[in-house]
Amino acid sequence: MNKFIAALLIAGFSLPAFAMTADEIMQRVNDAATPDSMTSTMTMVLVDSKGNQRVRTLQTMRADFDTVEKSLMFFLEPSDVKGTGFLMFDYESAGQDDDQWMFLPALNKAKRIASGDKTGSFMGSDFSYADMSKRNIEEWSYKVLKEDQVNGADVWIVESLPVDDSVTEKTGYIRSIAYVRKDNFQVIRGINYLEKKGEVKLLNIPVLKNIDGYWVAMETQMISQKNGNTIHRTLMKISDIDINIDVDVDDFTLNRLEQGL
Amino acid sequence: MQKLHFTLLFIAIAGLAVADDFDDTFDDAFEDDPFADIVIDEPSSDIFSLDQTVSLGSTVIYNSNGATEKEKLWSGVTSMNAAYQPSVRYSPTDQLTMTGAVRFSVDGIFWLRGDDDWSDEVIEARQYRVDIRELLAQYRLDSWQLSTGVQNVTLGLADALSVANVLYAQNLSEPGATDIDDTLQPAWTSMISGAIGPVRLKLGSVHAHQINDIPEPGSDFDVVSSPSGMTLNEMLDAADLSIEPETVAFENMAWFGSASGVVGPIDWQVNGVSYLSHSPVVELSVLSAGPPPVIAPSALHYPRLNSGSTALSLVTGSFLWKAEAALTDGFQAQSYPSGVPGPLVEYQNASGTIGFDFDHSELGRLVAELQYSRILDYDTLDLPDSELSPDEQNLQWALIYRQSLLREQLKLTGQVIGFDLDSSGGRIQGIGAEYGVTDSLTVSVRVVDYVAGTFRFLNGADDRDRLIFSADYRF
Repeated sequence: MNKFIAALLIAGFSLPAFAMTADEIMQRVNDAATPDSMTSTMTMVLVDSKGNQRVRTLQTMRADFDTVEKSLMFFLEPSDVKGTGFLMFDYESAGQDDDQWMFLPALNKAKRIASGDKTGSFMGSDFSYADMSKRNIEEWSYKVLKEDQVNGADVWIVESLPVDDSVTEKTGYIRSIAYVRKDNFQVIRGINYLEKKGEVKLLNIPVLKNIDGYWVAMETQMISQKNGNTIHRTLMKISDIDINIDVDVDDFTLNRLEQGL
Repeated sequence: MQKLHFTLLFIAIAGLAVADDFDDTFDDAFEDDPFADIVIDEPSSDIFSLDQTVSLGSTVIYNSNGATEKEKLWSGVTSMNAAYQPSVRYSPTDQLTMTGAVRFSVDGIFWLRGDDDWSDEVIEARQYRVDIRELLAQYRLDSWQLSTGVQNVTLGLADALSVANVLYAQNLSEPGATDIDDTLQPAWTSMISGAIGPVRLKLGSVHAHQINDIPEPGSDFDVVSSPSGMTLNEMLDAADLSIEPETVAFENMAWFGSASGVVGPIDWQVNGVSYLSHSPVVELSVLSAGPPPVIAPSALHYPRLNSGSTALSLVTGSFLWKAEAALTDGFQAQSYPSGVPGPLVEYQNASGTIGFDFDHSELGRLVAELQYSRILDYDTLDLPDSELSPDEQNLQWALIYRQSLLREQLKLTGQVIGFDLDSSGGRIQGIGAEYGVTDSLTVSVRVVDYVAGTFRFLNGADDRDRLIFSADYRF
């Protein structure tokens, strides 16, 4: 009996990590240092259930300005959309919709895109526009489910639930589970449950690299599953990375978008 | 002590209970690396790139009743097109970029069905074509850019029925058979663009005068447009007149300036454009007093039009609301003061567009626009009630629905353009599907259905419906 109690004591005291609440963990995730600015080449490989692959390559630039993250992207391939650009302003405030514009090179025209609904696929990939934006931390409630190890790293497994229906309407998710590394507060895996019953999206970040003190996901994988079967998957890889480059607010304007690739 | 044991036991069991609540499906999905088969090539050079497209296409007029000789000829397969388009991009420095795209096309229908079925003008226009789609040099310095070459500059914020986007001529030779976005004809244009504070500026010139492409003589849309029973082309031919652009000269250039900006969810734009009309004003003269008097075209004029326009859009959730207004001065038409052709008179035209763009990931995208234009002081102009004279007011509307399926591999489109609110002027409506078989191969099919009405191009158009196939291979 004493042995049993001792075992339970060990089990109980193996929860010191729980001393950190889920809210605190996710606040640290949210506060994790990110470069003020970054340029990169992003390649996405889209794979359907039959193994057919499609490739999207984009030249990207992003930077933080006060309460808004701005990004500018141009398609490099496929050739039929080469030069098509996107300018996005992702506001920190939960109540403010993102601003998005699209540049069509054939028409030399930038046009505003209504961005109220972020559940749609980003360029046909398994990532949604919501996945590409930073989550507003106050829109979710958190609970630590358990601790575990992933590839030798200690992690917290944290459940996120939307605080109201409008969050689900905006993101498409009714529940998310994040695997947060204890040593650097980086999310390295995620399970996102969609509104449609039986549909989940599995996020995996197998290659995380520390560049000048910032953790950068070099490879991100997303698998869409329906009733346990994979129906589509996307590999996103970034290269040619430059961080904390010299950018200013004029690099993220409609004027710059219309100058093209 | 017993109490402490109980408390620790409770904590541990509670912890286990929480853990059991979570069904970790992750390891199953990633057990065998599902991305092991993917090899990512290095991105191609960003200094020079060459993209090539080979296209095959066909047009079938499927419901002609063959009531006239022309309708008999214009039925069944009327085009078997093959095209090759190389596109080059050269960017030797961060500031300088040069791009070019030329489309070489040939229509095999003239061999398959024989030359006798077609007018010389149709053969000349379609058998062999070389179209410069883009030939452009751009130099960027900070927030300013200078560009010159064959290009389009789009003004206005409306998608389908803009009253501000008047710089370039349109391809109206086969109404509805071309995407609305593709109807504008690129031309040699020089522009300087940049920003002063939050205001974007564009100033430039279209160096060559352009004329709208109208149906070639002998084609099924070359319809009777005068009481004499002749088509416009036949009337001009009889008068030894031809529709040709004005020469490249300083006084024939178009000029434009545009200022625009963003205020929160609002995009705004103010434009000024001065250009020669893209369609001719046909001046008629009395050749003999009669009776009855013989009236025939005597000259073609391309008056200079000066247009000021403003555009606004407002985004709210999934809706983008759009409005444009324009006032254009310098239009000309021929007055008929006493029942016979009189002098050309000038008039102003006021026009506006309102609409919305609804975009939702599951429901698709719906664009709705309504355009209205009106000639000011119409009653003082003594214009005749003739198809060669402008109407006092015009109303058009457009509905475009797009839905992407299979992760954007399949794109469905439905579109209706109506003339007059009740469509009494006619309608052009169609549905289409585009399927990206691979990144390199796209196939599409489109049905264009014409509903006849009083609008000149749609006069008797019910049996000109088209089925259009195309396949594009890119490498």
